[in-house]
Amino acid sequence: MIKAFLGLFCFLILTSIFYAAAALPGYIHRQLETETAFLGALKNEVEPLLEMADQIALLKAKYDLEQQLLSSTKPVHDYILLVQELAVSRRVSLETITADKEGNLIINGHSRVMKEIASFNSALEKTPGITSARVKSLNLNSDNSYTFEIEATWIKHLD
Amino acid sequence: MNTLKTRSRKIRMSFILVPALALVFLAISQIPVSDHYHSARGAWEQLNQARKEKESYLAVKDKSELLRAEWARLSCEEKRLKTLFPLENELPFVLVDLEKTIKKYPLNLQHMRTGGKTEHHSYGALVIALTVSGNPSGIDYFLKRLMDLPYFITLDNITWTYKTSDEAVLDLELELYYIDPDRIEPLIDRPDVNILHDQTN
Repeated sequence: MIKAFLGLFCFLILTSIFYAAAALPGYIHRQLETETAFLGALKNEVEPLLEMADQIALLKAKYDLEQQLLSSTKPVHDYILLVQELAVSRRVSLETITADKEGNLIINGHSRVMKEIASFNSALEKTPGITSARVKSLNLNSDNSYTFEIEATWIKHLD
Repeated sequence: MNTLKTRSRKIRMSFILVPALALVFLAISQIPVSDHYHSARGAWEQLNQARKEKESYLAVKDKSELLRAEWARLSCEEKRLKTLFPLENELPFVLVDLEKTIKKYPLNLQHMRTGGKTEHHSYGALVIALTVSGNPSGIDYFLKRLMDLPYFITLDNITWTYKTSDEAVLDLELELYYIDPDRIEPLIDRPDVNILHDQTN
């Protein structure tokens, strides 16, 4: 009697184990379907966020680059325009103005009066942003005018 | 004696039962469950992968507030920044626009030639050599307005030569800055979408 009971019990246990094992793949498949459906919905929700993140990264890179360049680049043309204005006010005729972003400024010109060249050079020296200005060469021409070359350097923004 | 016999029978039974059970489980794990997954084991691996992908998507979703705040901060500058730094592939269009703009000035554009590129991590600068000639006041105006261009440019090696009192020549190198989008660090790593790809395929 006990043996028969034990046999039945073992049979039931084994049957339920086999049943559970046979049902396992179906269960996994259903779970997977549920997860995939959820993942699809989640993807639709997250995809616009990812696109937004890409846009933000691009804008941020541009904004940071602008700030970096604004603080590191020098307005070369400002110095050219400044020399131009100074030359007009000091009545000095310019022939060539050369400037590069390394801070070099070379001015070639002429004037009938040496004092005006000195005044022009002095005004350049006093200009904010220009660190040095010196007359490199000064030649007297046959028509009694003076040809000069001034070398100047600048490092800071004018503002 | 009987007890010993029973024990030995049990041991023999377990020698048969355990491998039999293992074989049954192994066989079941190989039963095909659908067209996509060749076996239960494959489906289980897919399920784990799906869960991992779900985690990575949820991590992105968690940052949505942060992203929206950042977008609100930067989007007002979007239009300006978009033009200020063109993308590398937009450079030909920008050059055409630049030439058109320069030709609007009352100056003679003698030449405009693109030079080399200087490349940095995520951005670069295209060097454009320009020579314009005309009235000195026109050149003065041109230089003043050049920085009003919608693009971020810097000038280098400027030479202003006075030919006569009415004519001057301006040589300059213009550096046009651009962005290389492929080199920009992403804010968020894109999650893998293997599961969804597998499903659609």
